Amino acid sequence: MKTQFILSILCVGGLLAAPASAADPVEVRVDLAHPKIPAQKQYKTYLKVGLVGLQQKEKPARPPVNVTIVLDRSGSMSGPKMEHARQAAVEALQRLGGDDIVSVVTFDDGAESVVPATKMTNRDDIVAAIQKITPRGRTALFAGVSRAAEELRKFKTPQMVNRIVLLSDGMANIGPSSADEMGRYGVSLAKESISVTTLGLGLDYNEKLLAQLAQHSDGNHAFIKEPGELAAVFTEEFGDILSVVAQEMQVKITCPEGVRPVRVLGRDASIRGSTVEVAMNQLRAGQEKYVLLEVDVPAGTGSVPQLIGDVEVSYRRNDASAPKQVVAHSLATRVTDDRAVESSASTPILVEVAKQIGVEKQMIAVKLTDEGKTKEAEKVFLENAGTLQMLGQKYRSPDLYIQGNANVTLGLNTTSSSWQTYRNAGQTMANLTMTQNGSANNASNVNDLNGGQAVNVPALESMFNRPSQPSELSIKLGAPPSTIIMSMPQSSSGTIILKSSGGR
Amino acid sequence: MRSRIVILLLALVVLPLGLVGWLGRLFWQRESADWQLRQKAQAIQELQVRQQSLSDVIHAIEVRSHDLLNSIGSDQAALRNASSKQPLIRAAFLVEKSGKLKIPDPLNPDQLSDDDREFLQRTASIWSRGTLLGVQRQDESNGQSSAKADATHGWHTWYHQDGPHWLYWQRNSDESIAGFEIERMAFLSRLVGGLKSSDVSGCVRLVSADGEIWMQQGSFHPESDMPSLSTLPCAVPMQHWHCQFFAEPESGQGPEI
Repeated sequence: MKTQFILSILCVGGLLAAPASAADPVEVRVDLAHPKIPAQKQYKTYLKVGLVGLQQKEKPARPPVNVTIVLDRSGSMSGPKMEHARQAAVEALQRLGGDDIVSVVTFDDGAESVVPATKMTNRDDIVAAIQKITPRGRTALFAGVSRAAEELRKFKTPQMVNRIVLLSDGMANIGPSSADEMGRYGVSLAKESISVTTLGLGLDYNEKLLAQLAQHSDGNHAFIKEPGELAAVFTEEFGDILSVVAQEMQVKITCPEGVRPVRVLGRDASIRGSTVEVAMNQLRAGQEKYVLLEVDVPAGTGSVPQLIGDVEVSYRRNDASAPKQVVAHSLATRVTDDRAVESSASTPILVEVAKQIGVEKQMIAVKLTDEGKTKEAEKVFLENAGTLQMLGQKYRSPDLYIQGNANVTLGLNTTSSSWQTYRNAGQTMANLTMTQNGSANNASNVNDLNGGQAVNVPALESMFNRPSQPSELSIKLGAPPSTIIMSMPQSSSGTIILKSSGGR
Repeated sequence: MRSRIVILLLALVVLPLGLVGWLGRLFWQRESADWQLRQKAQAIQELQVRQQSLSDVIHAIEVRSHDLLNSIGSDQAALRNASSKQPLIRAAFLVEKSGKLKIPDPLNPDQLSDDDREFLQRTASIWSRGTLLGVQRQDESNGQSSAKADATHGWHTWYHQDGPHWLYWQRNSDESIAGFEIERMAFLSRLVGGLKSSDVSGCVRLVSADGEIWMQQGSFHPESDMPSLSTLPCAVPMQHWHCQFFAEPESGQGPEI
């Protein structure tokens, strides 16, 4: 019997599903974008299944971690980059305890296990091995990650948090270099409960490749412009690893006859007939990850509640080997008054929908830019920005403002010499939005790239500048950011006037 | 008289010197040939270690796939779900005895997921032939494969866009064929990550059928046009991939005398 505990709650109006009991580290929330839907007509709405990692009052023993640091030691890493990378790795490892497993892999033309997987008991030896790493050769990134996965597998158990932290500053030039292929590899690693955090250093790394690997393995991705920021990023990443509260999360949504699941926004999902399945890897305390499902609901009759979907969520707690299951049902109420439909709408969910669709369009525009179609790209960027700004105003959402700002900046810089910097920054933000899901749950300025990457707010503000006055948005194309920011202060609303020095 | 003495003296000096030189050259040539043979033998030994390492990984994957298919048996739901749990499996399929593809079923599009549709696209060239895998496999590998139409299990390699893809299949007792599409990158990662390494004085490479270098070991970095000293093919289904050994040029010319 795998199921330890089954909770079934009927959710009229698509409200909350499963409040966590005192010891539960995860709260499952099931919400509808429109708890009230029109009675006599077909309607499109969104079902959100959120998993929130709860901060525990009594701090439970954390699960042991099994981490591999993978360092690019190719020739381009020489100088301060390598110095900072070594130092960052050493500092990050100080956070680990004696029960944790660590390994260090480097890659140049090939891959080498500088520190084969071992317990963190012999720190001095590990540090000494890291300090000996010197740059040379080319960039066999795939070999590095492959070797890292082998090191993780040596001690991997279901009770451990398994993660690869990969730092690279260049293009993979030995082995596969296709982002799609690395994305597939990420999917495979996620099935093994291995997530990969990718840290892109400088302007010359393959952002798409690293982002795909991180996104599909449910890890984090960050763009770091200056080597001096590596230590902070590494430390925050390890903080994320050490605060995981649940793993191997599965969400299954089964829609009744007539309700058609259309697509899941921002996540890999399997939709087969009326059944939707999504897998997520790890959830840390203070983080929300969610599934946002677009559904077509058929016309109904009268006041009979409409079942939108049966939701099954399973996850494995740190202190249990068997998964816990939560079952809920999402129901919408039929109403004849369209204003009631509108007034019942959940603004937070609609904001998330807007963010995800905005990211999709941004991705399209970036692809156009990469293909040299800068005029078309600029048009898509600016249209997307307009929509995001409009919705930001409608929903009073600072997140949508900043996303819109980013698209304006990107759109105005498609031919700029700083394009690569803006691109990497914007794409990192987009990847974050796609997979992070729920930045607002974290009150601190340190936020997530899909759940955990440290970033600093001033850096983002310098690039995707926030409105300085409630009535005016000033786009300053100043210095590119050194790192990417995840969350915005919750403030500001009002009319937006777009201006630029170019008179657009 | 004096010239005779000079000639005699020269002969006394030059002839022995010439003899020594000739013997030295003979010795050097023999040593050089022996050294090259030793180096070639060492290269082959290095490659055989890698070849065996790759074979072991492939065999382990084959055994796991075989065991998984056996444990699934006739449970079609379990077969469908295999790809969502198993890191080395991208898709699962079931072909009826008649040759009709039952999982995923292209005639039942409402029940297909996006992954199913992509699988059908990737494998369209296989199913469009309407023949069983064993026969196709023999055709495709130009007779190099040992598989036969009545084989009970095996690998099937086909090319699609980004390179080779692999199916592992097994014939059931009812003559249907169940199998998996191997997750290509996970498969290659196991090969690359599991490749045994040792201190190599030259360079060892794992090279794909189209010449792409997937992994390199050793301190020497050969030029792109440098021929390999020795090459060994990988095991089925990677028989079109190779392990190559490159010797450092100064040492490849022979020992210094």
